[in-house]
Amino acid sequence: MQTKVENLYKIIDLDIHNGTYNNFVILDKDSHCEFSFGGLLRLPRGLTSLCSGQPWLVYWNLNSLNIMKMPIPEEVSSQVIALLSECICPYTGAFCGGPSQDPHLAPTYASVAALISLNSAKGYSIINRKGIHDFIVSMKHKTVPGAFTMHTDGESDMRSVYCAICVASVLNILDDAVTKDVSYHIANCQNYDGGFSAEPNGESHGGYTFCAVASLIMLEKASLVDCERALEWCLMRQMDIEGGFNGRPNKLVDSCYTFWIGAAIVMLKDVLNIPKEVQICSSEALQAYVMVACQSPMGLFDKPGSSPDYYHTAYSLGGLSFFQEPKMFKESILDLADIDPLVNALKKNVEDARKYFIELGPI
Amino acid sequence: MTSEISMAQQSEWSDVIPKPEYSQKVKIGKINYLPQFEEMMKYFRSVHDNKEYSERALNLTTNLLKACPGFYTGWHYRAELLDILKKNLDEELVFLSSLSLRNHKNYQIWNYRRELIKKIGSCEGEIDFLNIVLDIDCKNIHVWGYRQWLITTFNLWDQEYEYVAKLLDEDPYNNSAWSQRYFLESHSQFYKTSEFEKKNLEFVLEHCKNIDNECPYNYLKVYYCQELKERIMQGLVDIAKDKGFSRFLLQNLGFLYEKDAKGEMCDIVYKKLAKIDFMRKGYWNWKVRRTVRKNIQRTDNDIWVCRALRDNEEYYNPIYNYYKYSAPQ
Ligand SMILES: [Zn+2]
Repeated sequence: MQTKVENLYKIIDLDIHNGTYNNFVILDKDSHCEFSFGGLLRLPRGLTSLCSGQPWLVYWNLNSLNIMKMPIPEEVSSQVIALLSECICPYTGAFCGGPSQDPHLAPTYASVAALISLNSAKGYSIINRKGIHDFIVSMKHKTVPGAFTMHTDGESDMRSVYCAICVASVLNILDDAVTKDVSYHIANCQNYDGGFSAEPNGESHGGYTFCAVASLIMLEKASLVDCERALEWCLMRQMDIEGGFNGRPNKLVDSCYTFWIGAAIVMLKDVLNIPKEVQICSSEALQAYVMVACQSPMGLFDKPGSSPDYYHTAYSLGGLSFFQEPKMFKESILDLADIDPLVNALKKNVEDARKYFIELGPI
Repeated sequence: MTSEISMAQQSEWSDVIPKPEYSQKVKIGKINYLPQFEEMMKYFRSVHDNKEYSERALNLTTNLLKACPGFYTGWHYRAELLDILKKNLDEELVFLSSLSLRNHKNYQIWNYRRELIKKIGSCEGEIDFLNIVLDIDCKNIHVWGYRQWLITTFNLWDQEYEYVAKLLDEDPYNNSAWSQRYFLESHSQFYKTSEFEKKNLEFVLEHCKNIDNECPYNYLKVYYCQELKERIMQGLVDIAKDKGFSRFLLQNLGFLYEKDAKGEMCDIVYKKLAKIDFMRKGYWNWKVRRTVRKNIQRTDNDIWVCRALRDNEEYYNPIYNYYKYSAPQ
């Protein structure tokens, strides 16, 4: 993989360490918008396996369009709301992976994040806060204090913690019944190397580390863990030759970690009061990896040799939005929107959503 | 998809009204399913909505889960069906295993396996099966999670040492194996003895001779206690004399100096890192002058580190993640 990426850099004589190049590369936002927009309208057969996570597809594509500052037409917006309404579980009020499926924390997060991406009162009005609150509480793990299962008898890991805490935080339903023991459980999942794992004593992983850090910050409990060690583990994920992040030591580079690791770095930098102007990882190298090595004619992919998908498009662009300056290619304008690293949706929309649900008062 | 005949034409299903995925109102965002799959899903929604616990519903989940193993609702429904229909769980395990080999990167399958093994109450053959799956992908995080659960639940600690040793022998760069090693060490009753700890530290230091391997350098942090600090420092200096410095080695030196409140030594190390570690130079610069200077007394090793970092060529090879130390004349 290292050689593959190096060869791509050689084509334009790019030296990511010296910042020199012969030809520049642009982020082809028009094509990526077309790709993401198409993914809202109709989905190819190859995505059959995602029939149990349909709100994710909606959310990824809306978020990609938002990041690229592409307006979402009114008809699409109301169609998305209609689709998500039919994914609501009639018994609990939480969201399911699709109609007539079981309620599940991950599509609940994805649906709420999709509605935040639309940022309309009409969209927010389909959210059943009391139902979602009670569902989250009912997902609390029976034997592991502070953990959550994704669905009844489902798996329990750091993703389920994040989905529960993030949804509850934005919807203003983060009460003691939800938060009990959660921060201690997260702290138990920090490992000797500073990263976080799915469950206590597992292997540290970029995705789980994002989930842990974001949840702790929303719980205002970041002081329970060693943030400096966590940050150093994240920073070590940036690869010397490829310039992108990997998700675990000695694993391959992958563009989706531009968001998972990138957002964790942004959040931890803030917690540790590192001044904004200090550049603690190389933005230029991240841009080089995403733009030179991960762009297809339509959409982005994880690493050279793969085909584009909606997930990697959303997460590589989302990550890139944190690292737009300084530029690798002086000639290329990125102009990506600001993203809230805790929720992974437009910063402005997250602020509006929080205000909206605070005004609704307690449930 | 066992049958070529559409379900609508099978008398077995004639009493069921298939349920489309979305109402007429939803016009976008639909997946272009294979017609047979779409039909199965329509019947699934109907029987699932009606909470029908029947043989035909069970067969339907078999076909659906083969086509879409991430379908969590199908797995949960199936678990209920097996319970109510009092099915043989050993046969279920065979079915699950056959799916698992083809779809090992999947949350649902490994969680379902936990639930199933809990009910069966025996872990016979499980470790052998996991070894086969880890042969396909030795860093599969779902499999490792399940393996840890199995070891904890059935008290399988003893035999695991050998397996982890074998994996690290085959590939010392396998972080999953290092992580599993810690999982064992932290649970072992021997772990608390200092004899055991010392022996393990030597094992880790031996691996640190691969100075571009992040894993053992991360693992060193397990042993940063008062009694072992000296040994770690000596080990790192010996390796640096022989092999040179990598960012991982320097990061550990900085960490040791932080623990000793040797602010000046920290600054020397972090300034060096800022020069050679391109990706993180801003971070290392930020670390300079952040450690308090309580302990200014320098050991022979400190003096050597100072000279080595000052006098040495700053050629750093990012491909190998380190630069060679050549002894000053
Ligand atoms: Zn990825």
